[in-house]
Amino acid sequence: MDSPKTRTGIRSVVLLCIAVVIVSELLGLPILRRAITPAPRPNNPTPAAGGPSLVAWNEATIALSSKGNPVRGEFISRRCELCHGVEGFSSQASTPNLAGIDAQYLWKQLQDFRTGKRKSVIMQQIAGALTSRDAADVAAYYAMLPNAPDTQFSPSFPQTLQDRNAIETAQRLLAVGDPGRGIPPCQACHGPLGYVRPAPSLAWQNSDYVLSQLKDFAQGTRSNDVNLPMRTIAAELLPNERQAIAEFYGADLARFPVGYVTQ
Amino acid sequence: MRIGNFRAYLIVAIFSLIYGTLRFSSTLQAAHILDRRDRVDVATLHLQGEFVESNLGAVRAADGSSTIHMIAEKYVFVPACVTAPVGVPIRLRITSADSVHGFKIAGSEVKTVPGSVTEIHLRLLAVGKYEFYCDEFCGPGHHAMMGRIMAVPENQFPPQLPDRGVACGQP
Repeated sequence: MDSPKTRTGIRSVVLLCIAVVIVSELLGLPILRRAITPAPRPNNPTPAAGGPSLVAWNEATIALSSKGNPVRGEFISRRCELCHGVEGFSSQASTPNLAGIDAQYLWKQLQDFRTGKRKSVIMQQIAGALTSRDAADVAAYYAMLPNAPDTQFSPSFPQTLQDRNAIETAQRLLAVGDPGRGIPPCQACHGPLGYVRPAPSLAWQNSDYVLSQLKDFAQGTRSNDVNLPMRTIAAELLPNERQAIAEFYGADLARFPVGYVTQ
Repeated sequence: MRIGNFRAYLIVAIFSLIYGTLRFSSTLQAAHILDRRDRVDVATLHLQGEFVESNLGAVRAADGSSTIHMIAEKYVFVPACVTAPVGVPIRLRITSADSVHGFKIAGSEVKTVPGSVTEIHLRLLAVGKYEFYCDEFCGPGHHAMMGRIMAVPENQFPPQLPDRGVACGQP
């Protein structure tokens, strides 16, 4: 039998274990404290004013831009009719068609015109007179208009194809893009194959307008695409490719996914 | 009840080992989850933080190393072409603006996750063109989601500009 001195009470064992727990918890605290302290970033520049757009797609803006009142929007749209057409199809090919446009896209563009992030002498004035709510309403109105032009309002759409050779180039870029140069297929974001918020559908868009926007993106004179997708892609496109894409869309050839329908 | 000293020490030692191991690993895990340095807000990537437009591309630190900031989004890497110096340690910080994408370069691969920053450490061994691409299916434009790093000699790498990263092409 051991003498009482070499034996330990179970209570001491439990107390020692509790001490171990306390020490471990205390040792862990500085690690956790370091984690929750935001570290200062040396490369953390740029005020928001320098960004491409002030619109951030959070829950509030998504709800506001997609739940406009089209009836109220129809009254506001009276001041758009002169250029963009009574039914949303404009009579000039350089002015975009707004019929059936994505409401979130149109709302964002009106916001960008309002804040001067997208430059246009006329649109900055007109959009400046609208509230954020007005913009959502008018976007909802144009989003529900049919995407086929009504001939009684003399729409410029569809335009006649200038160059038959453009079809092949455009079909290739719309259907597969050019992976080697990092150009994704247009129809993956601009429909009808797929959509990415807030990319607009281009299937019934005017050729002159598409061409001018591609040029502006490539040169950086239009720079309100959040995270630069269009500036990156348009800069990779060659001038004749931009022309071909614009003509293809303007000639109403992109209603159905290219490469998925036999013609 | 009393037990032998050796047994008492053994019990405390085994308990400390098991508890300490669990506590240590769970603390590190919690620290990783709580770590805010690698969290970003997807909606305001272009308005604040390290992924604003002017900060994309490669910049050079004072110690000679280089940092590249990049966004993966449907269906492009931005910037799609980056100029980077050869032979220096490169820290590539990449995030996603929409869904999960892959970033595959020269046999190694990481995922980019919206709301989180993935950091890759690279060293380019020779002058030339290094292509990278997305290897996580992300939609109908996935096959064309590619970019490239142009490796240039260190002395030809442009010095850091005050308000803009260095990319070949745009911005």
